[in-house]
Amino acid sequence: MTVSWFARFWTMRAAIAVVALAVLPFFLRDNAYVLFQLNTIAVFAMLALGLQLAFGYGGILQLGYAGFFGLGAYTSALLTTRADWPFPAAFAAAMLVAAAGAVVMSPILRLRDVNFAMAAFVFGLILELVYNQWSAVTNGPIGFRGIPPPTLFGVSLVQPEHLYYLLFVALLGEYLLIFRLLHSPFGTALRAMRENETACRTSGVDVTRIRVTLLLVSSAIAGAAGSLLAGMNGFVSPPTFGWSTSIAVLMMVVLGGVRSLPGAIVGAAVIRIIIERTSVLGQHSNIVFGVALVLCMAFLPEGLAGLARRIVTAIPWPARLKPGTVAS
Amino acid sequence: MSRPVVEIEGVSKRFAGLTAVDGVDLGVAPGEIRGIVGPNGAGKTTLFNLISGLYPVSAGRIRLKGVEITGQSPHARAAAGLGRTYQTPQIFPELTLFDNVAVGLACRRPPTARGAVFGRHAGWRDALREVADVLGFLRLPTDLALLGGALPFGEQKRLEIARALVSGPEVLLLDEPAAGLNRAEIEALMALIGHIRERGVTVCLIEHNMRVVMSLCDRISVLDFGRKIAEGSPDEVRRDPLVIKAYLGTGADARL
Repeated sequence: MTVSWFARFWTMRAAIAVVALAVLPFFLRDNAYVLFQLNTIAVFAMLALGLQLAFGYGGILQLGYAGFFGLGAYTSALLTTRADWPFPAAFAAAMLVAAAGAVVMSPILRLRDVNFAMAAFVFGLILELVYNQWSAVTNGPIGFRGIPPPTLFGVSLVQPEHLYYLLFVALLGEYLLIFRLLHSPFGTALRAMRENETACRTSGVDVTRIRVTLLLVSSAIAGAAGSLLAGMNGFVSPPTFGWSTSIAVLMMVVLGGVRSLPGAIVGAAVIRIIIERTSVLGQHSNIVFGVALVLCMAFLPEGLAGLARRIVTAIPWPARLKPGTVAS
Repeated sequence: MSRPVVEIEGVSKRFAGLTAVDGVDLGVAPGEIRGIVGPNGAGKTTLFNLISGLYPVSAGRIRLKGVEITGQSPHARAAAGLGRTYQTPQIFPELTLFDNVAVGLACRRPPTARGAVFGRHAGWRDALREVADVLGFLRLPTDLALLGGALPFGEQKRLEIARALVSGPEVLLLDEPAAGLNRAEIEALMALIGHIRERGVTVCLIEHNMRVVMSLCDRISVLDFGRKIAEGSPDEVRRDPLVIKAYLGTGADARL
């Protein structure tokens, strides 16, 4: 706790990861397909990080998460196509609308565990229904086409590598935000709440307030991701924001490793790759997907982050390089 | 006598078919050490849960420093100056000692997301010192990286007291502080509770260890089947025929 949050974040590992991701497009100059896939992964990594905050750290099993992703995407699509808002304004509005949706949802935070999860799931279903049925605003099942690409400082970001950097900055910003949240008195209260809620409450922690905050922040993050997705793809349609996406994002968190921020990002990448690779199978892709996940759960109960920890501890590091000695 | 710091008026708690606390009146004077005793199932812990707000009362009123807190949430009561511990220590096993205690600072410095992102953790150094002070006061290890769950039972109990003390409570509810402690630890605990009182904290304690209760408490309230059946100084209570009958049983008075 005495080490500043930034000193904790900025380790050799983080530096290598950030630099590697920053220079990656230079090696993929002519490979628009791979860049497009990376961009999609980045959007889902934002979602996975947001759900990691709410579910992994806060214990809020938000099964309607994709609905908020949709709130951001539709808000951004509407404002940029019908009202000609500039992208940054539409982006901010997308976050606000998603957060407002979370305010509407917040009363169900009174429920716990499975009850909350079911209510949240239904909340997501209702949002999906709205996207499908409220044709006057959402264009129904057809959705929006021709959404202009994000424009920043007068530059239109059409090229996949430009979009890549926009998403990279958004993802890094989100990561730092969540990292800082977790390494603050708020983060301490959050971890304490997960371990022993009763003791927390009688020690003066307003548990309800923390839960509402988590829902708001994670929803705003989903809204931001939705806005980026709309600008990046140029179209939005209801199936993207349905329950199967909520489940996929949950799988990213669980496969990556609950309560691991890098795990959420890696989980997002792995799940996206599995979805992409099996899409040629059509309906049958779910079988491959399902079997892969069952195997992961059976052999990697702590997710990929747990596997990485096991490998790192198994390596006989020389004392000078021993990982984790500086951190705390 | 000055106004009681804790005032309980006709407080009842009914669970389905069971009245755990039945019309209890209690007034605890500032600076007092009040013992709450009674056989198992007498409603002592339920009473603590009602005072700290974990359960809503079925009837009655609770005031803290003259202010009614009956409908308030537990965290609001904690912020109003009420600290408590539990029968089995309710610590945060995977948090460091420092964080375990720092959670108690939430009363005075509510942790918010906005503060976390934009704030500079003003007063963080003060907080660090306060936590270190309290850890020292309770003779707990000051190794900041040590996890709460790594402590032996007796130290976990003190860690819980530390968390309650760091919020600067005016009233401290201790639920069986001596349970599970060895003789030496009990001696230390009694000295500790004396020191806590010297800091101006009013202490209410539930305890089965009669030696602790009789030598430490200024006044004792006896509960049986949810009702208060006696109250007074240790001498008065130990001679009360109702207490002997209901709680101690025949012949047990000799042991006191």
